Amino acid sequence: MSSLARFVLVVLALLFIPTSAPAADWRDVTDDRLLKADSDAANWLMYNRTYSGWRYSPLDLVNSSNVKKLVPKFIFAGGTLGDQQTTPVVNDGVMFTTSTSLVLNRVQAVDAVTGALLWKHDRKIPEDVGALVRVIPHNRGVALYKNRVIFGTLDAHLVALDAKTGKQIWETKIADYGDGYFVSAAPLIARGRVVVGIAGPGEMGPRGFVEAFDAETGKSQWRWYTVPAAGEPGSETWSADTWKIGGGAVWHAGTYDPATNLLYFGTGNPAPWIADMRKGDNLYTMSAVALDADTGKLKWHFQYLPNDPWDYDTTAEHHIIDVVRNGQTHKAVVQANKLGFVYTLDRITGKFLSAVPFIKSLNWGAPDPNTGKVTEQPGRRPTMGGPPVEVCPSLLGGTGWQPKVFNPKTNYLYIPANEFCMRYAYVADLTYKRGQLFTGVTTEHFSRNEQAGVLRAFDVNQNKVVWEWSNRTPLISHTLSTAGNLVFQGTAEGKVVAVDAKDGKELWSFNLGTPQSGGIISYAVDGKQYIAVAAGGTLRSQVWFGKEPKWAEAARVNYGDIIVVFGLAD
Amino acid sequence: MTALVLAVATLLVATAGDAQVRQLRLCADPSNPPFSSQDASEPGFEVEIARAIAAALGAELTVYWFPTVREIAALRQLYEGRCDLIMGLPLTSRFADDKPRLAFTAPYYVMRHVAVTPTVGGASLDTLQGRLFGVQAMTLADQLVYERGWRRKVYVTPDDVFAALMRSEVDAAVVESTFAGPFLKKHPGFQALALADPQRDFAIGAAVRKTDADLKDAIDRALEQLRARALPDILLRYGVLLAQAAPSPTPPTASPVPPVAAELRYARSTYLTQCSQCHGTDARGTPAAANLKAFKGSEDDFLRIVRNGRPGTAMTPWKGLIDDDDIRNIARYIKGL
Repeated sequence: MSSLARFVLVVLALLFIPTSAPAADWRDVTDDRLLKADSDAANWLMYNRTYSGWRYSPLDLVNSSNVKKLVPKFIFAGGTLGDQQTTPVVNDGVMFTTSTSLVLNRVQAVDAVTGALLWKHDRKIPEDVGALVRVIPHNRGVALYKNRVIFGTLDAHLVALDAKTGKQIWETKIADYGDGYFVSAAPLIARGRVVVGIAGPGEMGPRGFVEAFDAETGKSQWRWYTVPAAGEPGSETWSADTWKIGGGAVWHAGTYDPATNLLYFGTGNPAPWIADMRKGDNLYTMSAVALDADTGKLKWHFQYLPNDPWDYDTTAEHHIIDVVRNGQTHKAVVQANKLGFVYTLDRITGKFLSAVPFIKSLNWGAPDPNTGKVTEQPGRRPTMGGPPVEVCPSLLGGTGWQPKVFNPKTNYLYIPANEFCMRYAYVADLTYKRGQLFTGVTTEHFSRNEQAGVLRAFDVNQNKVVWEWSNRTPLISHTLSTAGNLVFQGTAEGKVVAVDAKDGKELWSFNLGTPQSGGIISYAVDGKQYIAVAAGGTLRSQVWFGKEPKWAEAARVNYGDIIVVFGLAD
Repeated sequence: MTALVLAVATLLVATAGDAQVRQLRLCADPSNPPFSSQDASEPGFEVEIARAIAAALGAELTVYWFPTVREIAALRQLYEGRCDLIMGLPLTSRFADDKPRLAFTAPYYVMRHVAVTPTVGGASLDTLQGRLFGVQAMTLADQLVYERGWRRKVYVTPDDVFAALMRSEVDAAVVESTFAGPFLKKHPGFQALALADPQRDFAIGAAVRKTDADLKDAIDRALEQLRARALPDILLRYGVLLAQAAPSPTPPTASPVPPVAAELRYARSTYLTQCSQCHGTDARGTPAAANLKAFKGSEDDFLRIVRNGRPGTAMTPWKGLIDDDDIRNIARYIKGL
């Protein structure tokens, strides 16, 4: 055997050595593991890490005393451009992440220590998807169940892949993408069911819904519409039968309380945006809803804003927290939303407990502190043919879909908040066509504050803001809190910073080179803690920088699609 | 007649024994009454018109049944040669400009919006002021009623709208004349009042592959022959002509917004709803999107970029969502700002 041939054979042999052992070590993500995800410190098994929606990592190897030694360990490039909102999940050293573009939904499995690509699954998207998908072709991540990786698609399908190979096991058509439906949220697994909220309806016309599928087969088990049909309770809140096109998308992941077996979702804005075209309260848009996980039946609802004219979707997650106020413990859900208020509701009954503002740029009105019933400030609703009205916050909200995080050690809810406003007008002589955006408004975002992005720590027991850390541009990036007394916050300028969880003092920062726009998670492998930061920006949804001169510098930052994984320097 | 037969030599596609049979193959939806239907007793007026065209060409009509809900998929059947003819297409540049592979025929009827109302209620739109209008949701009819400030109630299908009219849930139904016709035919107690909005009338014709230019010319000549007699017969039988009452003299409510040249009205609406979020209401751009007032290219360049998008930037492709004529009008609207 010549030495060259021997060399080639050796190289080939090396190539066939598995780059990592995870396939053999795979532990199924069972219902039991999902229910106990909070104590599984090394792993991040679902979108919000636990059913409670906290995004809190109990790991403390990286902490406020050593965070300065945090250095990048590897960078994984997803291969798409400018549409990155994913939150990766991790099971025993394997990371699952998504990348999207207008032409594909991509899922990738990555060695969570080395960054090596284990497998890649690309699903092609039809050319004739509707306008909203073309403008925001986003995917926020996968769900893990047993040996499956489950995700929703831009053409409104639900797909299950084999976690070891990336091969497709089943797919289910959820709805017709021709009607403007698609899935951007990560699915939620609740006791063998895949629960998915649908995107599209608020801007494209049809009715929104939440649907549950059998995780084994992909078969539909129940569907709950956010907008009731004629004769159903709530349909009387839609004039002229406009419920048929009522919108109410559910484009963000829900939370789940195993004790009550209730799913908690926030519903989006009603359609069309022109509120006069659908007089009435427009139930159950702009609401907190509690659904029985077995049947999809509505257990209770609380409407934050009737007849929304400002696109103030209340889709943010409802954190499951037992709050202690005046010595009394309340089993609560807490939502900080676009309206600019932290709402606390009784999670068993839906009863309103409190609403406290967390932003200062606020002029649309306010909920009554005792009942939650809204009083609007006169003159903030635009009129057909009238001049633009100035409304605060902007339609991106006091805080939008970017997840809020809760740290049970501090009892603080960390809210990536925004101080900005909009000039908002209805388009006169409106014409419309199936498939186009059916918003009918023009918007310009601006800020009267030098620092428009403000991370605020909100004590859920004292019911007030306790500290803030601010940034020049609005915070449409992610947040993570850990047991190491840390809060990580991304920015549109492309930074990720770590601040002290108790007082907000900045401790560490790193320039990612591209806007921070996806999830920030933490996990551990072989006794080492890692922080993974998904970045890349969402270029079409960053247009709210608009003509605001203060933000021109940040708008120049380039877009990529990367996950940067940090660990302590060796 | 000789010229016609020569022109359709391209249609020789089948032989039966020794005799060659000329076939004209139509793509039509199997269940889309009153336009087309597999039900031989009511085949639909577009199938009947196609059959009359085929007869005039000395050919036999065969039908390739294919759902037309998805326009792109339906047109592909024609492009890929499974049929030679597709009926019922709007003859506007808005529709035609982004379909370079089609040749359009002359129109065979005009579709417009009408208010269907009981005859006893009165004879003009004036008497309907303040009454309740039923419309199909998210259609042009929905918009027309909303624009006029009329009270409206929405339904999901045209059938639902008519059912509501029948049980007096609404005082009038605003629908396309093609749906009004068959309804009026069956329900003599009702009448159709045209909404005076000629901008929103659609001349309807057929299309063949652009490469079949001879066939298009032959069909146009056939339609000319049929126009006197056969065409009105078919349209009357389906009630399509019945609904085409003379436009009402009532002008639409005056618009409170600054006037824009009529042909740019759609363009302004489309620009403001689909484009201005990134490019600004003044089209002068934002840090995230280009200043369109500074665009140096030709209108064709503008059209190409809007259709295809700019890969690697936030500019998404709009083909299939904004028609070519609309895109050109947007370019003109921006120039005029």
